[in-house]
Amino acid sequence: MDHNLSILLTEDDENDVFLLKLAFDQADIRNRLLVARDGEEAINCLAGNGRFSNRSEFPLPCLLILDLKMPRQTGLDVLRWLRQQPALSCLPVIVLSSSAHRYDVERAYQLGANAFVVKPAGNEERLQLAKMIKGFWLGFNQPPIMCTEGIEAALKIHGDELIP
Amino acid sequence: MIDDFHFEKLPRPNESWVTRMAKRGAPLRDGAPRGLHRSVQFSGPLGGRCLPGGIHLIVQTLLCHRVIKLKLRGKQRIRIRYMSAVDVPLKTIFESVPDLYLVLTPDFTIVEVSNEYLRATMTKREQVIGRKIFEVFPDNPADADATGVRNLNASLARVLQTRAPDTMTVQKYDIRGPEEGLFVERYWSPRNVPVVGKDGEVLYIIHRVEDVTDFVQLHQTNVEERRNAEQLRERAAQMEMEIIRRSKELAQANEHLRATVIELESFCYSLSHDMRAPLRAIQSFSQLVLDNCSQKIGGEYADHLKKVVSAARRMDRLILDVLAFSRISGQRITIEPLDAEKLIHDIIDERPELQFPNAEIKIESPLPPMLGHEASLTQCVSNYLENAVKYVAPGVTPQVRIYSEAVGNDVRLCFQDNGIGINPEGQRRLFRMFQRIEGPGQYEGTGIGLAIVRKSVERMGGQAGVESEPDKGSRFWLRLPRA
Repeated sequence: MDHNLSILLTEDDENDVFLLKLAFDQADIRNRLLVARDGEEAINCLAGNGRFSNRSEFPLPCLLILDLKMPRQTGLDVLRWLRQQPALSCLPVIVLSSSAHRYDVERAYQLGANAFVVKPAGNEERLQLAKMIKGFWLGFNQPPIMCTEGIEAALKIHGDELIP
Repeated sequence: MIDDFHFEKLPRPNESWVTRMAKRGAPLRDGAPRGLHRSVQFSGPLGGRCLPGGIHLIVQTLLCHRVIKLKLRGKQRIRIRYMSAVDVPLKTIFESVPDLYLVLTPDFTIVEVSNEYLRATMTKREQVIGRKIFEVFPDNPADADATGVRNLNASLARVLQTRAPDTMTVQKYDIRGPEEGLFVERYWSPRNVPVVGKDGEVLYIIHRVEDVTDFVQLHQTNVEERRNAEQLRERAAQMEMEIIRRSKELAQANEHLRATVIELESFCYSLSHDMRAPLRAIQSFSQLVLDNCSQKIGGEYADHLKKVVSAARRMDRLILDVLAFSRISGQRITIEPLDAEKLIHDIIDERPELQFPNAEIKIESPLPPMLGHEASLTQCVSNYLENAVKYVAPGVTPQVRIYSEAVGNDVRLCFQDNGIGINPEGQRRLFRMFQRIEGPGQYEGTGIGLAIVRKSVERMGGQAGVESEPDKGSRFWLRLPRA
């Protein structure tokens, strides 16, 4: 995958942000990691609102890693909003939650999550996860057009009703 | 015929009077069979009148009906006419009328009665004939409200006065029952009709009654039944109200319970989210320091930091176990036939600590299929095996023998180990939440594993238990229905 594409991590816990960043570094993930501190910020970032309107500074991510339990807007709120946006509806989302609460798992998939991962407790497991994200989501996985060609192209294709 | 005779000058002869005469041996001189007068029984209405040469008395006897002359007190003669029974079956006919009749003289003396009347009033002919009606039928002394005598007396008086029939309303007029002194409840529909002579004088009163006791009682029963039905309806309504009230209470309790469950759920939720986050940080950052700077901080402090890491990991494990325990009752489970043997093999294959040379686990094949929930049974067996290999004396290789026993329609799956064993007090507490039997720090554990086993097995409709002796190993078992 293009290393210029960024990843948006939405996480309110600074420790978790730090540890995941560390794991990403250890796994040699070179993509830029944007961080939103809560759901509201994630939405603004994705929508290009306010200070995020500068797309060269805040480019659209090719992957959203989403914590569920956050102040203001929760991860599920973000997910619900995201899937209603014609341009952004295809963005791959990995939910990264503290627990595999049954309700959360079902709700997340129902709202269009692409994966659900319980936050690893130890560094070793976290590194393993980072490597897997690199290998699968940033490697084998084919991202949608919005990630590779941008929103306009994605909207055009959606408008042509190539995707029924 | 009887009407033809009236005593005008003498007091009206009655039975006792004539009987007294007869018993004295008043001569019967008109050719009546000798001795007959001695057997004269006055069972019917008496009548007679003064005629020249004596009183003509008409006497009904059991045998015949004739007019004969009797000389009374040696002076007056009385004719008593015997009438042949063949000639006059009227008496018999009257007695046989299938209704209740009583014939009274104007002074209310009973002079004739139908058999039906006797039967209905449980009396005998000789008890009533010649006696005053109210002597024979007094009010029930046990019934303070009895009005029988008063009402009948009034009616009879009306008949005498008006010489017209008098129909009474239904009367409660109890009669003497077969038991001495005890009255029986009776209801009657009486009608009193005068027998008026040529001179317009009331000769007799025919007292006709109908026994309507059954009808009245039936009516009363109906009333009673209606009242009962009404009471039942009321009770039903009350019960319905009660049920509504109770179900309201139940709904409230349910609501309360639901709120509690939601609260508990949210507690578990934050337990898993908020409490695990700092633990994750403690564990991860300590490990980070250990990984990068253990030489700088020195061996002793590095060991301390390792303890921080392992404590955090243990606490995280504890939280996960509590969550697992709390989920057991909330989860829906499907019961199906399970191949216990395969299930156990799979568990062993996944875990190196259960494999040789770390442990020797022997399965006594074949194990019968059991009814249970696969994930739950896997959890239970895992917990048993983990304990079996964990709680052994230092330096001892864990040995576990897994075998089955049939208990009725159930299968008991047993796990016999060579572990440290458990004293009786420990065995009692073992399956409860947060109970750890061994000394602190000796063995790692959260004290929830066996609580999870028991709860899971019970949820599958089975039982779990242990038999053990210190230093002689333990036998943990779980019992489930055979598939």
